[in-house]
Amino acid sequence: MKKIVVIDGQPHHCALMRAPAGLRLQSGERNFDCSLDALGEGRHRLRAGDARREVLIAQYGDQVWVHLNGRTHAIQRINPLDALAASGRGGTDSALSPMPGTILTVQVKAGETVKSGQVLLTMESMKLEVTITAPHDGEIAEVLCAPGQSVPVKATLVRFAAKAEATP
Amino acid sequence: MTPQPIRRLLVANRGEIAARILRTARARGIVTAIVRHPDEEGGLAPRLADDCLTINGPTPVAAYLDVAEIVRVAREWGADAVHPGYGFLSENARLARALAEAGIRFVGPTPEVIELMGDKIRARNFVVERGFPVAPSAIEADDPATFATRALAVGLPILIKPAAGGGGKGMRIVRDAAVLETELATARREGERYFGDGRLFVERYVERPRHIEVQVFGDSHGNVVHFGERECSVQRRFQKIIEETPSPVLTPEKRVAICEAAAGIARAAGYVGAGTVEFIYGAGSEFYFLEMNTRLQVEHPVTEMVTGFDLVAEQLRICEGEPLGYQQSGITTQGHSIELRICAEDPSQGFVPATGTIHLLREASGPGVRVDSGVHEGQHVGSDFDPLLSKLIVHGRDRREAIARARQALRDTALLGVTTNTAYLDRVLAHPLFAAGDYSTAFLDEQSAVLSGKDEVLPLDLLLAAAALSDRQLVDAASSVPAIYAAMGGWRN
Repeated sequence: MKKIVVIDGQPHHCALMRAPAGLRLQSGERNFDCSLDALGEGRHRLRAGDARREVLIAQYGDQVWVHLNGRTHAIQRINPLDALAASGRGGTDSALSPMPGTILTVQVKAGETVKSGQVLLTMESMKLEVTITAPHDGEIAEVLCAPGQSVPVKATLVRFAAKAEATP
Repeated sequence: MTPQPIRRLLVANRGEIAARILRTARARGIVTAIVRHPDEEGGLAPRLADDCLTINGPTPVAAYLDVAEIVRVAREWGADAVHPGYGFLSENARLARALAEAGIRFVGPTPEVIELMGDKIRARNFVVERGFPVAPSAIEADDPATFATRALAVGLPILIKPAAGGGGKGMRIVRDAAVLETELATARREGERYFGDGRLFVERYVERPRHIEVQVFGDSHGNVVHFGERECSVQRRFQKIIEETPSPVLTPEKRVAICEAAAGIARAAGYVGAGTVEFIYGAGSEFYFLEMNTRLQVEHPVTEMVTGFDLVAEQLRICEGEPLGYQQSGITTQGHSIELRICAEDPSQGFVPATGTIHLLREASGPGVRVDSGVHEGQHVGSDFDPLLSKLIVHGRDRREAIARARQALRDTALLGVTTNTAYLDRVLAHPLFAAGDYSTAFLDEQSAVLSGKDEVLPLDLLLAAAALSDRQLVDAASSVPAIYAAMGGWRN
């Protein structure tokens, strides 16, 4: 079994296998013995090859946070099968919220044709007013938000109709 | 006037400042209550208060801004004073008046002074008339028809500000006359949205200025003192993230001049309680009055660290009617203090606010380290409020020691589950210009490439190992296929 481990935006294919002295990690050219011992309350003793550190680890589903050398690293683990399924959903695209916040105005309707760069909506997060514009020419399939609504980061705000050439 | 002790205090705020106020109130034997909206989860302050009162509103923020609602719960609970903290209604004269009518004290100055200083144009005129320095400016209300022309006459670059503003909201810098109209329109909309008042004024924008403020205190017996300055130039989006005292730029003579100007302004206003006079400090050592904040500041702890005073205790004493009880000479400072604002935000994405759940929390400790936190492990951090989670405050015998302690304390701080700015703050502290004290409010923008952290080498093997070994599926998969390795031998001990 392999998983994709995303560290600082870079994906790494990772697998563990049994080794004479515990477990061995393989990722591309990397290949080293490693171990992890829980010490309680999130503290762990971590060994990777010759390097040894005491670290803090917290996880939630496939998200892992590692506090190491005074820095916190947010790491995502992805099951490659799930990633494949997601990429198969292409054909339409959408405008996503760049940050969590509140929708101020929505300036387009479903069925409307927009030009690249045209303002779709404005939103506010803390003290910033942000304008969301069309990434390209196209037809709006669906508006998924309304003024006053709170949205999380990366929420789909506006969906575009599938382009003719992308339609199966 | 006989002092009237506060026995029941309502803190009309949330987060770290509510927790900080509650600690002092409890130490003084005061019964306390806190407010919260039904949609809010967790938080440290509700755990520290004797009572937790529900305030209603269409959104949590709306409830905290609802004067009638705050007065209602204060009255029903039997509060004899309300501490507003900072933000929300802390500079709202209507709250101060409505409380007075209900026979409840407001921990802050009089409504008249709040109104004077809350109106940036009136405040500016007040300061000019009394001979204190202000920057060249143009005021829309003087003649709206010619405002744009007069704004340009101030001399580019200019800074547009809402007349009713504060805290950096709705401010825009204009360097090019061509964009003046659109920037004015945006600032007006933001002013209307945040303050319900779209009136504007513009001010000459001092390039690469420093932002230095002075803590002042007045009592109801006519005494006014200052508690020295705070250097607040490390800002992103006009908001401070690192503050320190003393300012590394002030000579002893300039320090006296700026602090005495602040105390003079407070004295002229008949100021009672805690206040802060903010100044713009130019490269030529000139300084201009910026505004007066009629409340406790986020960064007040650095002043506490070097003076030894508990400023919230002083606020409460003064509200009770006690005199200050000390002269200016009774306030001395020792060493150096730095505050770091730990925020749920992503510096690599333009400081966009981050949300999530705090799965694991470790706070820094050690000599000269103080943490003013508003959060606890397991708490969900949403986007309803300001992203400030906690403040790390350090004290050292000198600036160098304070920086070293601050850096170690940041590295000892772990808040897993929500993206924070701790690594970014550490890079700011490590920057040679910060170490030299040679920075302005433009510092973070100018040094953004260096501060992005892209040069930092990742301990990739360790991180991969941590991510893989903490994955139950990966570990189980490895354990379930021992055959091939068993066949290779080397198993027996």
